[in-house]
Amino acid sequence: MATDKNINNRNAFKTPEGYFDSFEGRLMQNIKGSEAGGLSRVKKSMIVPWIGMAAAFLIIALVYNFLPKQLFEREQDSRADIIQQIEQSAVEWFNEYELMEYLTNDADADLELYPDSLFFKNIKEEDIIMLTLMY
Amino acid sequence: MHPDDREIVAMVHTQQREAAFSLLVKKHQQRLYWHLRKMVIVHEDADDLLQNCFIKVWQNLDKFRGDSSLYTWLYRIATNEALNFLNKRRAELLASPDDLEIVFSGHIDSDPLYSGDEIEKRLQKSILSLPDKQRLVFNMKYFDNLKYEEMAEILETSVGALKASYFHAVRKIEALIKQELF
Repeated sequence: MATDKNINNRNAFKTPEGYFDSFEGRLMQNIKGSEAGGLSRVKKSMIVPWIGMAAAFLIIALVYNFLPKQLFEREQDSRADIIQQIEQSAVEWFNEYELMEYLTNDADADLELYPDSLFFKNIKEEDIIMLTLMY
Repeated sequence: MHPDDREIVAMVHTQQREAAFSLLVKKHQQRLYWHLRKMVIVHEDADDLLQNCFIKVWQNLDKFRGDSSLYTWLYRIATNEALNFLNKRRAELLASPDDLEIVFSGHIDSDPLYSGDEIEKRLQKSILSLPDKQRLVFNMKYFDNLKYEEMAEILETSVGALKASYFHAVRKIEALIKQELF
């Protein structure tokens, strides 16, 4: 470097005291430790992606097998619940008296009551007699 | 006196693996450490990378057939460790307002394991402004005194590309130092 005569290529970085003397001992301890600990780091790094992929496939298989069944069952259950609720509600919500009261008081504005003759105009008198005799 | 690299490699293949590895560590630890330290600046990081580097050597020593020299192979492993580390550190700092150059510059100012005077600090900080690979080339040429041919083998590039890279690095550093001095 010609820029400044004071600059030289001396290495100004330092290490802690005795660093290089103790390095090999620490390194060998590290190597022995990793070997005793089972799989080496390189082997682990090769196996981990495969384990991850296997786990992903397992999850997909489980979801594919069980989720539709569970959803279907749940849907069936909910349909049955609704039908039961409707059946019960018709009985529970109104009794005969309330229905009569509604028809006579609350619904009178919209409800049109026709005379009996209007319902029976196409039925002959003989037919009516026959029906009353049969029941 | 350290044995020749070829003798070490021969020992590996004659069932003296651990003894060969021990010789190899003793012979090359310092050069590799300084190579890493100049790239990652912090002693603890250089120590971790040197350990990783020798662990990789230990794991692959049997596979080394001597197509390149042992020294070149070790340097290449250390260089890759350093470059990977720098990429990781940069990714970690993405959310931070500081970039790696600022972090390293701050460390040079406060590191008790850096004994450089003001001019040496200025030089180190100018080197930090270079892209990683140019910094690598500059350090290997300027501090480690490697030949371009050796560098080309380690970095798997051409001598011409390395000369150009070193030339640009020197010019940039000169410009930065001049800018600060005058």
